Amino acid sequence: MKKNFFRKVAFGLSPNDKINEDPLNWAKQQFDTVPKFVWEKKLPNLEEQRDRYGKWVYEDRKVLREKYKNDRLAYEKEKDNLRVITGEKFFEPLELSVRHSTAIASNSPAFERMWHFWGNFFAISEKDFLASFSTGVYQREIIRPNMVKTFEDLVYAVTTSWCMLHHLDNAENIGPSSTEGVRENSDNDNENVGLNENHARELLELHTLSPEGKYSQKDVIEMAKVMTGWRHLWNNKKLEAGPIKFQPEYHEQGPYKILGKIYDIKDFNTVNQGKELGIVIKDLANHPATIRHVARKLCQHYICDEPTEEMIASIVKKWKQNDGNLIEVHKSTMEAVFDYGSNYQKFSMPELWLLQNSRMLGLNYIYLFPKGFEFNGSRPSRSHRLVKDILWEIGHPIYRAKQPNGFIDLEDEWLSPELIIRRLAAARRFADITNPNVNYDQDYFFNVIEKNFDQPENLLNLMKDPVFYADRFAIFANSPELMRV
Amino acid sequence: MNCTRRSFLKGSLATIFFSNFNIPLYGSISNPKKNLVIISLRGGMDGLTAVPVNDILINKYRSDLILNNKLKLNSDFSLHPKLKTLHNLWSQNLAAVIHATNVPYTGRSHFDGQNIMETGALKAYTKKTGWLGRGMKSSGLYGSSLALSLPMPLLLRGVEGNNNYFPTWMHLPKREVIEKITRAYDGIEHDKLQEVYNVIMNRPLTMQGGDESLDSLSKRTAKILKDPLGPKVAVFDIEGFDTHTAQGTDNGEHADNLHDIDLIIKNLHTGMGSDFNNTLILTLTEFGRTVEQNGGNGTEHGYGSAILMAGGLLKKSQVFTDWPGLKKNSLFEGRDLNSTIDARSIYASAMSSVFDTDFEKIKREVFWEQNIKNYSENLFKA
Repeated sequence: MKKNFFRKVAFGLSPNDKINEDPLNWAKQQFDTVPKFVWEKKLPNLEEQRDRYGKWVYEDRKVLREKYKNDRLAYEKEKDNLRVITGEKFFEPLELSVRHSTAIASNSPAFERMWHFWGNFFAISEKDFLASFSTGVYQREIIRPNMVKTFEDLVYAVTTSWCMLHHLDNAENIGPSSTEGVRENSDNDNENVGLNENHARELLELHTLSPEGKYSQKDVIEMAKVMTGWRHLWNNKKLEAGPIKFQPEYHEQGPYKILGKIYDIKDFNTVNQGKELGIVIKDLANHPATIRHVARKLCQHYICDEPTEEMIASIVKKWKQNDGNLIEVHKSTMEAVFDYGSNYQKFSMPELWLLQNSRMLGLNYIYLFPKGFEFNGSRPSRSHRLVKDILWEIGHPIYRAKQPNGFIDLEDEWLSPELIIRRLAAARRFADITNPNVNYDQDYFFNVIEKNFDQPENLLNLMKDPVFYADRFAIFANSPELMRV
Repeated sequence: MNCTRRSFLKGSLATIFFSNFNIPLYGSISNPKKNLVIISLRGGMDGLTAVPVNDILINKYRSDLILNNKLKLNSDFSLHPKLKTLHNLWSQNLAAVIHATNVPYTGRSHFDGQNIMETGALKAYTKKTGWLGRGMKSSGLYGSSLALSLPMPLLLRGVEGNNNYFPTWMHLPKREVIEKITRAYDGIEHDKLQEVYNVIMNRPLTMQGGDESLDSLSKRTAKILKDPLGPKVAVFDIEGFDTHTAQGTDNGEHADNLHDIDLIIKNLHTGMGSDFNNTLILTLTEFGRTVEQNGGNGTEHGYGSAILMAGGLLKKSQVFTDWPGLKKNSLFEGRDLNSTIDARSIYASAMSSVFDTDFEKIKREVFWEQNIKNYSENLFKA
């Protein structure tokens, strides 16, 4: 396996890419540092996006609804205006364009592919306005910089991020015996507060142990107690979009018992209570069930739907030797793909399929590529929105998974007629998003195929009959060689 | 290369012949096509909001979630005001409810719960096919299902030739091009993708055009199901029942979701005309919600919920339940409405009645001889 490897761990080789003689090493060295995005324009940061989120919810909920409560049309008009001002329709297209620009043109495409993996592993599913303002920047600023640290660092950063805490309702998770809990339950408004297990449960089930870790409902409740107090600072103007700060007045005191271990930290005065979460996460992130769960997910993403014990063990071993250092975990994943990948085929989820076609064929659907664009207070145009629209049509709206477990990376999940119809139809449209300086004739396709496939015969054969221009793209993209890697 | 399958799926008539080989090729009056429509309610429907019980205890548990304008069913139960169509159908013996029911899953995880709801297994992620797919297979119904969603629900897996409809504005390549692509898979033994291309090439006209709104999808579905040669099974998916905060009462988030159920039932009832008499609509959900409200005027993941049913294949209007009560010590783990009827018994009984397949065969081939009961006689017309 040589040429195929570039498709298995990244997006294949573009017409400009050189064929590296040592693909495994080519991939491994990409994980040592965090590469830059292929995007020259300035990108918004976490705080700016939280502020925009806050402005959008505050102005809509507290100002417009009150002001126009008797005039629905005026309300709709002003609300639309507010969308434009806050960029409610702009940032999702922007972030997805950055993601695709970088996947297609980066010198570290294997790193980008891994970043996509983690984004889905720690998925923010569709909730409130997170996809519109926050999920993209969360993946850039919370997940990406931690990809050169330990898994524990990554879990901690994700768990204490505003985006994940909001996504999984942790502000609703209030210690019943905490000062605020007691106060709110004794006032006269009949509203009771208490534990909310949502985030705690997903932390155990999806982000660390998985059900194989055999935790119980009691463990979930105890975990929820540890997580109380991790919430946004309430702010009349920003509502739920205030910055995250551990607030001891909402915190349920220990000791806690999780997976049989007692966490009883007596000298944890109110100032230090927030540190309990880090201590528990340390144990969870380094638990054998967690390591196996993540290693299995990695194999499942890169190699096949049903990874073998041998593949999983190869990553688990490196993980343990390096205490969860993700640089080494990523490198060992590349080795696993190199060692075992040639015997398996993995169905490509729609976005990966799009990116592979795009990189190999040199398609260009990203507005102002590679320079990029930035938010200027205006409404996004069709060109701005193209990446987002294509992803929507092929059934893979990256920031809008329906559940916190993200998009399921298994072939059966994606084998429905309607989803395949969409790939057939979308591939015809590839003909409209080509590089204008290139002639996409038969020879061009032949060169792409020779460059990217160790066994090109079947695909060359499929492409040899003369067909209409747009159909050439449809046939190439929907061939067995492109649907599975 | 798999000649048999390809030629069998080649022409639509051939497909239809095989799909319905246990009934006449052309539907006749004496033996009309029976339809099963499933609506999956993801996130955990609150059975006590959809079908509230007449018990003052409830005011203690959830004072902020009490409904004002309930639609009365009988002395014990009512419907949520958004379930208007269902209430109208009730008076015509075309609606029924199973209450205090769930799949035997008490773990309170959406993902595990939905997996079990769809596979019918006792443990999550242990089975790769859905009970409906297996039930169709065991009844000889191939190529006879339609999912109204983009991904194929796990529920339908396990039988060949599943179809789905969730239209796009984009244009398909010409048939020759799809055929060329399909042939490229000839060298691969039993390729599932090739099967999908074959289904695509044989879509009826009713499945071309339309849009992806629930209103449009359900109106289309009524037409597709009315076709005597069309599918016998349709599966809808509605999300958003996971109301941890601000659940609402007569209006609000849970109410909007119930309205979606009612819209589907309404469009099917109106659109199918007399064929509604040969139809059973049935809802699924992974679990109910806590009896007690939480701090955010919402509810947490619970256990027992309700199954809503409509259609002319119902025996009569009834709330079928072995009501466990709301006293603290009757609640499951002191917090959830208990489940006294295994929802899988209802699924199996429904399939047995609609597919005209022996219950014992379904119990054996679909539910691995597990301890489920036959309620066909209580609930459905023979």
